[in-house]
Amino acid sequence: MRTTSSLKLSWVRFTSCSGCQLMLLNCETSLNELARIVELDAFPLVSSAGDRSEPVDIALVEGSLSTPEEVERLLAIRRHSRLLVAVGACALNGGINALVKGERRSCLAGIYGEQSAGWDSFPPQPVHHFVRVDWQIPGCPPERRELLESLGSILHGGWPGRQLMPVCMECRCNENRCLLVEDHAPCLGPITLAGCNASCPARGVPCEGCRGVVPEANRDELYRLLLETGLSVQEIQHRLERFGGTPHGQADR
Amino acid sequence: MIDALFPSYPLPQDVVDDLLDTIRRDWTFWGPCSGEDEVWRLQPLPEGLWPANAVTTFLTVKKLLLPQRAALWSHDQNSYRKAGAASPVAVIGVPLCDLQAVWYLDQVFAEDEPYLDRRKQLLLIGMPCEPGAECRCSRQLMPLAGDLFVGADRVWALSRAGQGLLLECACGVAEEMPLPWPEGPDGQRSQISEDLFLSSAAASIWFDESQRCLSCGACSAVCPTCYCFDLLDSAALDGSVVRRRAWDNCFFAEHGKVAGGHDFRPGRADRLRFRMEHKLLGFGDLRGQNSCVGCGRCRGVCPAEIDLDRIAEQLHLEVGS
Repeated sequence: MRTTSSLKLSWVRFTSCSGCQLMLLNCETSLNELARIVELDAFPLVSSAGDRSEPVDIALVEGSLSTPEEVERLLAIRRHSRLLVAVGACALNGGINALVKGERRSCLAGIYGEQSAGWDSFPPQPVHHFVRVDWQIPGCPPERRELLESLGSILHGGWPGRQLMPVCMECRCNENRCLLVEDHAPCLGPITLAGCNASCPARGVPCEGCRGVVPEANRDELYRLLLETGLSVQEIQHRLERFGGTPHGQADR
Repeated sequence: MIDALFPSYPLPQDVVDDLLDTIRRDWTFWGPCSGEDEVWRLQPLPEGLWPANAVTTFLTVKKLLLPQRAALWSHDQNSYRKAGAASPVAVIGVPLCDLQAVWYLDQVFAEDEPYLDRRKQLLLIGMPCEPGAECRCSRQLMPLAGDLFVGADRVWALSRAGQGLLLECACGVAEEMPLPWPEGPDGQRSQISEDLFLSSAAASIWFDESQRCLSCGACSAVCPTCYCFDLLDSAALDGSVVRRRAWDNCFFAEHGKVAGGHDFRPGRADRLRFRMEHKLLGFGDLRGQNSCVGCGRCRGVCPAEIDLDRIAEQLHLEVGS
């Protein structure tokens, strides 16, 4: 039931798979509560109505941007939104979309054919390249717990407490076997932002870095360790870049 | 401390069973268990499956005293609730070095209510261990906490609670005896003096080692005496609030940051030096107390093979006169 004091929330989607929206919709037991405290202005995966470009309290932005029209729309959303929250790997660092490499025009022609000749587009960019982002919810897709805690805290007037620490720390706290040290598997846990409860390494799958890198990540040393796992230089670069990581040699110490 | 004596009783097999049965009445047994992944963890023990020896588990009893991430309190509408009480756990198969570490944590958290609530519920039972290649324990380092020490044919009472259990099981006549510390590594531990440490700020060893440090935090997560924590508040959609306490780590970029943007330890070298100071010299009332119990866990888990003992040796070479 909407009340006069309910907050207006808009979910805005740029280029993405909509997996981030799906994660929120998967929080079935919390959707009633969410509907009680917010008024949805737009939520593409729920309704095709929406994006009325009205002022909202919170805009959740999913996806990366690659056209001038998208940037126009993002700027308008920023103007109309009290708070703007970037959600998911694509919005935070370009995500999988940013893997596209090579000269833009030939890339487009390769996928869309000759019709793309007049299109105006640029390589996929994260949201923070164009507007101020008030809060980030990382992940591909984001964790349900983090989505709910972030929304809950923001809707009630605060930021959720969180730790900017690597997946390694969560993995050790959970007493998982170390895939990097014990099995020489190419795990990106040492430089990847935690918050996923190390769910991939816990299942024996080396971390792929979907949540982006921690502040002051020591890429040089991880690069050296990944070489010891038997990966080639090119394989390592691909692995580190998969979710928008900066290639080796540009470490931000 | 080297000659600390504890009441020791002979321990025939029937008395072992009696003792364990007596403990099981009031406590749930936890002990070292190895999974298919060959990682030893402290876990609830299947009934009747007692460890033969102490084991250097991945995490120590620290995880029961200061859980990795646990609620302190929650607030809902108009009511405020303290987190639920811990249930009684008897941890069996604890190595002596880990019992020293609990003594150290007891000093640090002497006035911390959530810690003390959990500590009261814990019965700690030490056992003899086989020292591994990484072990550097020392009986002279610090006293130890615990309630019982169960050896091959004798049992020691380390606390009044332990003594009470042994009297209940009619273990015979006590003799004051030292604990059977493992032979071997004793005395080979690294130490640094206050003077050496203070004059080491510009030593190249900090820079060299920190080049390799990933800041992954593994060393202090597995350290039995590392206790840094962060307080994290979050609200649910319905407005209920929970405050959690979660392990923090001095290698993380935000650990030394304070309001106003100042960072007490802006680089990895500063953080490595800080951790060394904390381990080997301590802070506050515990300044001067080396808190590295020599279990070797940090060396074993470091992806970059950073070793505090090696750093200490290098410091003596580089800075020592």
